[in-house]
Amino acid sequence: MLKKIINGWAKHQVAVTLVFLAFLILYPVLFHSYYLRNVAIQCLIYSLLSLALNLIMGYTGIVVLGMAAFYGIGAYALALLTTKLGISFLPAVALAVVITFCFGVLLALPTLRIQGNYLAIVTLGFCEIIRIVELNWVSLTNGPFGIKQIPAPDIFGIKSIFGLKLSKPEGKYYVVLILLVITVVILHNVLNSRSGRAWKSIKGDPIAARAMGINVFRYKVFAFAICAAIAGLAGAYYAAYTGYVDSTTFNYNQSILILSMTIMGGLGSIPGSIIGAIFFVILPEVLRWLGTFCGEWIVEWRQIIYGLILVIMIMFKSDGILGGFDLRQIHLYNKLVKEKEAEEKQNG
Amino acid sequence: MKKLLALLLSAMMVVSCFAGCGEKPKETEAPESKKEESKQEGESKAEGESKAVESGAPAADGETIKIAYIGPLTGNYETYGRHQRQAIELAVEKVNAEGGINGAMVEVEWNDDKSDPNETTNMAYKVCDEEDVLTVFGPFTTTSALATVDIFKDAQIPVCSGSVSNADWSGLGDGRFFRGDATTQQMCTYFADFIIDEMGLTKVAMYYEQSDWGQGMYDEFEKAFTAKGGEVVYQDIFQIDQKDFNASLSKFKEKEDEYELFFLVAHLNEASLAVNQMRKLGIDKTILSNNSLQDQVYLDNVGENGEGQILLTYFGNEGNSDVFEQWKSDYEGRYNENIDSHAFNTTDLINVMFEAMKVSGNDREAFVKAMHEIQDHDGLNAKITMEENGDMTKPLSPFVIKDGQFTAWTKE
Repeated sequence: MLKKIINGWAKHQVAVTLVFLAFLILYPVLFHSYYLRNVAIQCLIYSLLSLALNLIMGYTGIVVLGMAAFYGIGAYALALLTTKLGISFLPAVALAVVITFCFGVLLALPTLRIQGNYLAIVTLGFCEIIRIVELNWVSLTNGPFGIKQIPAPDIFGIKSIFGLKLSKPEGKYYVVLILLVITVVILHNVLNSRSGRAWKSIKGDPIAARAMGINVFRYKVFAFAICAAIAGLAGAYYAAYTGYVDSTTFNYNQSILILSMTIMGGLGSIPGSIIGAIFFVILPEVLRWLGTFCGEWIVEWRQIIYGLILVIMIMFKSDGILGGFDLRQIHLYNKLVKEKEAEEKQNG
Repeated sequence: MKKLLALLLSAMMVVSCFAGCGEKPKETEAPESKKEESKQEGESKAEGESKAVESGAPAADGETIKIAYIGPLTGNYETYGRHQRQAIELAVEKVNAEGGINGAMVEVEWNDDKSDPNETTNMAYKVCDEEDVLTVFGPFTTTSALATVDIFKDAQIPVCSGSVSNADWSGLGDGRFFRGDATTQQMCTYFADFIIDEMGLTKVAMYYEQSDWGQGMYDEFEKAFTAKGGEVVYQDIFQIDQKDFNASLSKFKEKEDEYELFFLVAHLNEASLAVNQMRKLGIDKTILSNNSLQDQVYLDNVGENGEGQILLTYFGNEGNSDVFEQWKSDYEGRYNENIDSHAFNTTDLINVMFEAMKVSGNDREAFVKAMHEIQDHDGLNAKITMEENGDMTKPLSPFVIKDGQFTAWTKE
């Protein structure tokens, strides 16, 4: 059955994407509840983060346990740029992305010479360093008080378009949706370019990739920096979305949550990352909602049920919901099989 | 097996899709325009419609007054959330048993946010969707509270928190935010006055938690104490969840001759460890601390090391009012658990809210006005007055740990 769904999806990739996009665009029209819109916004923020991690883990095979660091840097960058320098949302987001990109390069240069698990530990350490800097550099980050009253998203001072207030959940929703769509389009193109193929070859076999003339180190640094930049984008949006950042938000648990989303969604799959993010954001809320029917025990036990579902998933589908599926390859394969069958029919 | 699991997973995804759809009629019965329209219109629209309305009558008819609790009923802060919940349940049962607020029953909707700011914003929007909620009780932590400021402000919904420590928070809500605990500023003024006027000391060393609360306490105390002629001769910080305090405490030991009083600003776990370790290091200065240590667990943890420690707090083991003793025995009898400062503050705040509801009924704006007008309310252990910025004035009294009990402090 799953195979059929995947095959169908592979065949009508464009149509499925368009329907999903249409659903996303119409979502605020379909659902009027502020709560549901807010849950959707969180799904999209985590989609960005999960995509960022997928780029580096799924395509280049580098395990990063410190996504929260880049997420936090992006958030703090936007918070400081808008509150202290009075820069408006869009340029501040662009600058935040550049800043996290630079941090990505800075971290990648010394650390990417380390291999495998050790690198994962280094990124974990980096996450902790950034959190402690955020907590202790009081003159810049306001220390444990955090930065509050960060202005909501706007477009060069314009706070509403077509009657859509950007400070309201529906406005914020479209802002993050546009950011996500742009990111997906760019990622899709990069992944199908020379860089993307280079990354995949590095993941497959770095030595072979090197033999093919690929500068492994440079491509790894590039992947790392892009991953950081996307996480920074998510962070920058998050700061404007909640209006408040402090160091407790960008901790180790966030990194693990993002990691779970990416792995659960399926490594090396853009739709997988989005599905993983949606799954993890919605699951606790679904359990909360079930509580209104099945009694309050579900709400109290939802953490355990949540954990249980994760364990079951890891046991039976350890490569994630869409892991191991390359829709393009499946489509090509199916097409070839069909062509061959048709050929055989003609011949025989 | 794989197929079966795939089936299961897709079923789960389908269920989650339904979750989105199913929730809509419950919480979004009235379309978006309802928010923009006047409240009365919204009420008439909601009549006889959703489940939410079934459980609580529309705001105007006064049969039910609905409070939406947002706080950590699970997760790291579950203990505090539970204490708040128990205190609220006890108070609500009492008021409902006495015939409610002008005949209207009080109902509480429990929203668990684990004190995770993402979940708090979800819950805040959920509450904003519900027209029949009069006021919010919560959020619990400063991070959660500051992440939801704009949401509540836009929805013009009153918010009463029993625990947010950030001094600025109450001022951010256009006058609709209320706090059921003394602010750090109020507390620190009490501390400074007490140390100089009552204890007659002027040199203090301060050891505080690195959080918005700890930092706020240090900043405010330093200001108030210096203004009164005192001096913080040495200060250091520790991290939340820190276990070993010896490194920084040995500095306090080195400088022991320079200060007369050790001011510890900490929560239960860190304070227990720090006090035991400092006594082991031989620092025998008198310790002064805040009300968050007021828990039997603390006394058990520190044992003899706690003897002589002074707390400025709201209540002790003796010397309390009769109302307080009655509440204490009710609470402890019912839950088989000791009272703590969260249960205490929650009870005081919810009682103040009831008093305001008597005037306001189910009208949010009238509730806000009535809350601001609270004066000399008979709290559990002291008279309570609501200040202009939405903070409560609640006098603190000194207690000392003597024979493993919090007993009233007297000048020797």
